[in-house]
Amino acid sequence: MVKKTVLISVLIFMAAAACVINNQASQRVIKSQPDWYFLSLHSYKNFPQLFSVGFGFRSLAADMDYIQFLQYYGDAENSGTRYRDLYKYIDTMTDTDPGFTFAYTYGAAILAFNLHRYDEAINLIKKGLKYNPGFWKLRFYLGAIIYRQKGDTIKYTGLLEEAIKFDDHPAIIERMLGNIYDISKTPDQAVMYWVNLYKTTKDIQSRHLALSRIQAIMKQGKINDLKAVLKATQ
Amino acid sequence: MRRIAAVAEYIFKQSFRNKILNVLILFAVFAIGFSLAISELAREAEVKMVVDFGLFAISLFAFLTIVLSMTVQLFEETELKTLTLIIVKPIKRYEYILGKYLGMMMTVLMNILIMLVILMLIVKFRGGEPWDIKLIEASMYSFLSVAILASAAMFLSVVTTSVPGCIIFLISIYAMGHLTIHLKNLADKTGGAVVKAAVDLIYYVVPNLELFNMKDKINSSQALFDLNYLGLVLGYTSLYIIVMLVLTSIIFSRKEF
Repeated sequence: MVKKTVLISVLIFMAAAACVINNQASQRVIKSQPDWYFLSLHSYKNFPQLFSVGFGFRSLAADMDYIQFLQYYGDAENSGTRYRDLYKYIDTMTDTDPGFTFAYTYGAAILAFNLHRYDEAINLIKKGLKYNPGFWKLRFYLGAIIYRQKGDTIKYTGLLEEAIKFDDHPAIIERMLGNIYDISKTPDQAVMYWVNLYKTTKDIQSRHLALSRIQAIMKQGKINDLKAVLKATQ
Repeated sequence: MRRIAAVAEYIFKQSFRNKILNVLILFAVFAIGFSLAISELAREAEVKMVVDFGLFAISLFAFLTIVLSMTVQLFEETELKTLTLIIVKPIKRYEYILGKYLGMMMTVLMNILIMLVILMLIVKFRGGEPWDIKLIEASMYSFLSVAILASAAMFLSVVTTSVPGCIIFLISIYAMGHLTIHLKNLADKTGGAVVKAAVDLIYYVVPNLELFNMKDKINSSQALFDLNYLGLVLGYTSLYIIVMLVLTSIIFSRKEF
């Protein structure tokens, strides 16, 4: 009888301890995540998101949203409307996974530098900063977009040059910087940039563009120090 | 102790003799390999895609391994009457329960390790960092979530004794386990007293699987990858498993065959 009572008491104590620890760990999870990480009364509006949140695969769901976004942006038919729904795609993707930092930088770069929709780009960066305050690179992009909006080419080019020093920059930034160099720098400096990009980029599209730009500049015959360029291409 | 080890070894070997489980492992390996193909579509985010898909596959297939192991064990015990052969041997019933649980855990751990190694190889191939501690930790959290689910499954298997019943309950627990923290958060903010009490009951009884869901937080700058949190989760997991296994043993020892 005593043995039984002791066993029951120990079991109750252990169950209570498990409940207390469960609460403490849950509080850590709740505090570490933004409000919308948890289901709310408004979550039903976006069922796929609700489903992925509920079953613990929101990061993968955001990847699927990312593929849809790429397909939308890659479809030439949408260029007629200047990719009207692009912001919606990025917004949904970052709603599904707010920690998807690349989505903010890539999306903002397209919106600001390709489509000149600065307000949407700034909103996106602000959203990124709200949920990822520690991801300081977003401030770079914010600065570059604001300078671009004001037409201060020198300052925004400087910030883009800083941005491409980091491995996780979107490839669109390196292509854009090359286009700026084509206009603002000497042919020697521009071709050296493209050669360096051709050698270092991980992006196939950037590599193709770099090669075509190198060939085009060489064809123009405006290179002063051909030896240095040829040496760099080896 | 030796008797527990013998049962665990028997269950472990039995799992690998089972063709369905072997096919499941092959399918899991194939699914992780598939992440290599699907990541082609996610330009510039290939490594993230591989990691997300791989971790999802690991947690899903680990859960399916438990469901299938449980089904196979229950079928053999009830339909083929292997249980009566075991309980007439000089082995205490709680030893059988513990050995069976450990054997199943060994099977799941081996499956997870195989899947993790393949995932790491694919991440390396894609140009990512295969030895990223978050990747390894997220996989191990998946193992812990399956460990806690398996203890609940053991309990259900003695209570229900029917294979379909056990599977249905297990899938429900899996779903509820992921939703419980969300429901609790929602009820605390908006619910009345009755709703709160009902949600609290579910929250404390069903294993809280969201605590182990690190695959969704692997990219978050405010992630929970620290020792303090790991300690809390390990404490919760151990206590829950012990309570469940003791309850299972008590019910099992009172059963007549």
